[in-house]
Amino acid sequence: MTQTMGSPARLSSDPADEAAFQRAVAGARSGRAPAFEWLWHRFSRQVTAFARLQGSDDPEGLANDVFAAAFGRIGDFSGSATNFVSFVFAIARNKINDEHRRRGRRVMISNTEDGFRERLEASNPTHSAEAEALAGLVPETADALRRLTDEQREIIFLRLVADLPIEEVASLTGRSVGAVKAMQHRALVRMRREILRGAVSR
Amino acid sequence: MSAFDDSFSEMHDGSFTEDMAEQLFSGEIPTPELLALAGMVGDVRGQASSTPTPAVRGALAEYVGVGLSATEASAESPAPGAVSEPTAPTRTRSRKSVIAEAVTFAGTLTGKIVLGCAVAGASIAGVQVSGVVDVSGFGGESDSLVSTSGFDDGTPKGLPFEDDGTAARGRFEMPAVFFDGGGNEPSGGEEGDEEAESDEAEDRPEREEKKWEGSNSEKPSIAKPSADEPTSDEPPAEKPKTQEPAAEKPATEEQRVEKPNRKDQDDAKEAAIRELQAQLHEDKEAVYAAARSEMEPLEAEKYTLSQALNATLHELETARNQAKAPLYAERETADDPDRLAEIEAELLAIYRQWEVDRDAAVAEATPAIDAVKAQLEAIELERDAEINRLLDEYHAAVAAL
Repeated sequence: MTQTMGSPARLSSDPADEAAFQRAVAGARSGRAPAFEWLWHRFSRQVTAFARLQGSDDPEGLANDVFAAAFGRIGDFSGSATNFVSFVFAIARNKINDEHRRRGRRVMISNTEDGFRERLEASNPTHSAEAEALAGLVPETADALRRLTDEQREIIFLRLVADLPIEEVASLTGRSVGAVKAMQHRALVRMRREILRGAVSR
Repeated sequence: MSAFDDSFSEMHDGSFTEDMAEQLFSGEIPTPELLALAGMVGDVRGQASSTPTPAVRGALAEYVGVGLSATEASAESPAPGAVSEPTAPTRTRSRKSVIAEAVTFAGTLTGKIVLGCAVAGASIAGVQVSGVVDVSGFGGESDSLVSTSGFDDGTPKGLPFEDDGTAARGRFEMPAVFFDGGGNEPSGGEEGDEEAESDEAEDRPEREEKKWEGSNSEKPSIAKPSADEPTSDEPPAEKPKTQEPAAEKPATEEQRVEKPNRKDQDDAKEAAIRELQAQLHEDKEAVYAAARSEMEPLEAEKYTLSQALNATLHELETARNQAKAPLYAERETADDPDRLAEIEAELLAIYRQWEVDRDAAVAEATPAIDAVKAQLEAIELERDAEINRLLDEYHAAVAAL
């Protein structure tokens, strides 16, 4: 039995949508502002949501930076809408990682009196931002996601928020397809386990 | 063995197949047991659709919004900053803007030096090209020296995203419309008097060559070896020295600070466009906020319904396991084959009944969940339609300016 659950905005396999995307890319290559706006309107929410879930201090600003960089390189881009999402999310990942590194350095510098906290946050810069990052989710989902490793969580977000197929996620994260499949399987099993634990404890 | 362990062992990981995972990721519920997990997956997936489109700011405004004013609304009125930062959308800006840029740039000390060299180079190159003299060092790029390509060749030097370290400088191609006289190219009519200005003389050879392609009869008699024409594929390092001012672009912050100083070159149209952009942003935020306020209770309701179904399913499983437990225990000790067969039949009956109850619970709960989802989708569609309408209105208003 297979039912449909939810229908958040997904990359459409609709040829018309893909054609619209290709027109937008062609327009963007010609420097047409409406084409850039179309791409921004179509994909920026995914990047913003991803940035927020990954603990960015300023998800909207990061999305702005990501798209400014992507639009600057639009001449280099060719491919499908999925390829574009992968292209954009590759930039987003780098910027988020940069942000985490900067945050880690800031903690090292500004919090020298609290040695333990300093080491904790420097070793895991996303730690302090995690609660806020997952605040938009229902508590049970947030709890389950917290049980995942950073890598598992990223895989889940890339699959669900970026709506990328497994091959693109593998390429984006520099892992094999098999490794990504294994990670997402473990992530889902762990999430389900959390659901069952929660149900039993209630 | 606890109820949890029992339940979990029945839904052991081995039964969680790759196909099921893909079904979950694609928004489906592979089995009723995975309903709650599908709810979580849907919750994460819904993050993107429930996130409003962020406000455009910073460097992105050069592409989205401000760039619109330069390319769509008017070919004559460049956007602020479009002159100083040659980004992709600004490549289609008018020649007036290039003149303004050249004049402004010429006013600076660096500009005087560079343009002075450029004019000198142009003189030498012009003579060289026309076969009067041959100056080594100016060779194939002699005509490049007299162009203002540093301002308008579309090479995104010093783009505000250099922090990536991967920005594709100089990879942009000049838009085809710029060459073929169609599309976004400013109307030829404006060029007549504006481009008679001597300040732009160095800009003309390359551009005029393009403009008059295909019209041999009236082609201006400006010497220019096309074979030497710099192509958009050339790396920035091969660009002539007249582009050095543009190569200073990494100081984008400073340039942004300078932009307000050029406001006096803008007119009421620019202000009107900015007002429209601000209004658009405000309207879009209002639409998103309204949609969010409608969607949030529905999202909560959907989650509650899903959780209620999950709880029901869990209760059914627990009841099934409790019913089976004494039978399992008896089966361990029973010797009578008839009794063993009865036990197996009872266990099977319990399992069958559980299947019936489970399907009934799912069937009962699903319509309500689907109804909420349908409402959410309708709100999303309405919201997106409203956003598109606002964008259409904005574009129309800008075009009408």
